[in-house]
Amino acid sequence: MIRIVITAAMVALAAAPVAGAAPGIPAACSANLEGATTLAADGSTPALCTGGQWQPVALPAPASDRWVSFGAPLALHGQGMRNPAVLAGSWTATPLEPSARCRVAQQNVISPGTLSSPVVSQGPPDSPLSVQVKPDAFTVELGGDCLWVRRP
Amino acid sequence: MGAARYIGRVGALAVALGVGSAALAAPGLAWADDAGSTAHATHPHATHGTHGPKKAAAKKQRLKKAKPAPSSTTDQPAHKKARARPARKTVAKSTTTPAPATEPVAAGTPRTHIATTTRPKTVRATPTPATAVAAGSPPASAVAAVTSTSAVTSTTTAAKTSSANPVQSVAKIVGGVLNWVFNPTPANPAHPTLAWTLLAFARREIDNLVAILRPQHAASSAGVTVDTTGLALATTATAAAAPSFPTPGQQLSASTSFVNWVTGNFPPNNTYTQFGVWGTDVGTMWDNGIADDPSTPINEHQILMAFGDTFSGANMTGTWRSNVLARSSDTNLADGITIAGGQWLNGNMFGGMPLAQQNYARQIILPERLPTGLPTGVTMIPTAGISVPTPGTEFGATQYLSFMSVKQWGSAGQWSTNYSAIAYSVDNGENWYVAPSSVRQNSPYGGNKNFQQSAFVSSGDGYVYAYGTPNGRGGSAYLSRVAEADILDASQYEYYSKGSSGFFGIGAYKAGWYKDPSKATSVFGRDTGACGVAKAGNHVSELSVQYNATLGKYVTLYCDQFNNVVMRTSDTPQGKWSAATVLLTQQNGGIYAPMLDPWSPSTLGTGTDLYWNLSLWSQYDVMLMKTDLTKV
Repeated sequence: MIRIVITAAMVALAAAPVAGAAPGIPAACSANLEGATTLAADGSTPALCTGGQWQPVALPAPASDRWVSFGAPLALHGQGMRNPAVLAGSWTATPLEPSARCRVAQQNVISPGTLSSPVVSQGPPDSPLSVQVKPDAFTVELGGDCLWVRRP
Repeated sequence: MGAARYIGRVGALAVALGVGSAALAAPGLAWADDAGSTAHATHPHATHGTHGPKKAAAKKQRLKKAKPAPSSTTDQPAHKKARARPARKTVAKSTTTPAPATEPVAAGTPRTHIATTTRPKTVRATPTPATAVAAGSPPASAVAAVTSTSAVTSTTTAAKTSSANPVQSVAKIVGGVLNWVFNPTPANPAHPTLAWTLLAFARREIDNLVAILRPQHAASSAGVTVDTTGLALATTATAAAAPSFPTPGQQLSASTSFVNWVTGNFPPNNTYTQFGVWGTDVGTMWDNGIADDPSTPINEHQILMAFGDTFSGANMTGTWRSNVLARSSDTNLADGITIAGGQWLNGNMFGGMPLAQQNYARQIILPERLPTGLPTGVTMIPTAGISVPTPGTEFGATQYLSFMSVKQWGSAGQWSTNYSAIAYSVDNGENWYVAPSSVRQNSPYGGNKNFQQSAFVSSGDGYVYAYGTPNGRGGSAYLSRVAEADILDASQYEYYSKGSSGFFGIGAYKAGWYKDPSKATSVFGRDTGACGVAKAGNHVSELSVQYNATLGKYVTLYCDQFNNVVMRTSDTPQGKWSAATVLLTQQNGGIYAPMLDPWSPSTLGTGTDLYWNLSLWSQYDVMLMKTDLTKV
């Protein structure tokens, strides 16, 4: 009997990490986010919205042209760092909630080992925000409940 | 805080033992214990011989001094027993290209310039005053939860016996119970898959716990060795546990295993606490060619390791340095590489890393020292290093470090460079200057575009052989050579060509060496034929090349188009190179930049193991790997 109980407990334990493959984000994603990427709560694991579910992406993840931020900023790298998460170009953020404000903080490379001060842009509530990500962007923090899309 | 962390770890273990369990009952279970390394400790580590076949033989005859064999009490990190020595006189620096003191050596005249000593891992058993503890405050800007312990005053060597570890005793008892759960029939060979899965989980938890409980690891994190387990526990509670994957000793392929971490905010080196290095990559290695000075407590004969973008916080956050350098005198690679302790404000050029402040490494290739007119790019990444003898200089050897100025990073495996260049240092890598004559612009015209990333090897014939690849990871390998004294002058290099039949014979030339970089042809990494692109090793990424005395061949490692780590061999630098053999397939998290260790037993001709650094993107740290060449 005890073997059965322990085995059942082990099954539950083994199943848990699978369900939480992308911790800290909703299990499901809406259709408008299809193909978008976000980061799990660990701040480093990308998750891709595929078929209505957030699926973890193997590292190193390719750069994405669609990012989703859920309030807390996503700390991403631009093309000033190896394996960039966001590429240079024109980005537009669209709030996912009526009260949401999109916010981006960008630090660019001044020279190897030296970064600029963060350049912050924030849109008004429920309004899109356009931002230019530079080719030498090192850190790009995307915040607010927003969908970020790069224009080709 | 430290106690809470300890409790958390025990809690995780409790889960692993109480629920997951089959761990200890499974026949495959093994402690990640130092016992496994004792076999390696018996290797006669005649110190380095990084280069050509002629030098390898000569080095064995130039053993400077014999050191006592390592004992069970000498496996502490070497730097823990080293003390600051009187300052050396600093050599005046110039921003111009130095005139190498060496004369060019005619081809075929081998010259052994590398210092040779035989020593155990521990440099010298010297009393370690408590004030030498390298545990200080991290930079305020760093993102970390590491604290230091300064209460340690005892400095006796920690015992290595595992029997003193209370966790193992508990584990044996629990293991007996779990054995009953999962192995009711003594001869039952068929464990359920789930049990094996949980076995691995539980084992990992136990390994992690044991790792942070071990007295020797306590010493690693605190900077001294201690003689009481309780004190060790108090000390280790301040250091993070190593990542759960891979685990030290873990076999990742038939031939290759993970030895230990080189960098990271955890044992064995805890480069965050010592140097403010939480994460970094690359770690290209070379022998500094400087003989040990027996009158000093530090072994000056070292491996130098150059790293790329370096961060003081997790997930590539905190403060950023474009490149840093580490030093090690550790010849016993079986249990990892011990980075030497830091030397701060005492003029010593042989500390673990060049420092900007105590316990904080500084960038070594500085934008302000670039030749006038050169763009800095977004970063400057070291790709290869080598030491050349320069009699008359303070240490008798000059360090050369090839680096690439990255213009822009692209998607995985893609980046563009502005140029490559060579920096040099006459003080064991403490201060670096960039030679204008070494710059190779990444122009679409000419052949310098194929030498944006490098691998150096000295063959003993007076030449430095410099392999090159284009920017990114989609190219193949090309070869050049230059007299050692002219290494900083790009105009003096010769390039290997397989020859050309020309256009109906017009413009044809034979295979050989030419001073025109545009004549260089691929020496490996470009397989032809219908299935060429599908073959392993068809693309060359960050590569490393050495002469391997055991094999009697040149060996190269690099990652290919599938992110496999592959190996090729050749009798000569130019080839013909063998087909690529896969040592390790792509791993979870993303591996890259396999960099050969010149003190590998097989490189020295004293064994069959080949050691190399490997970067893991997900962790963003460097690992030491081992390949058993008998299993390749």
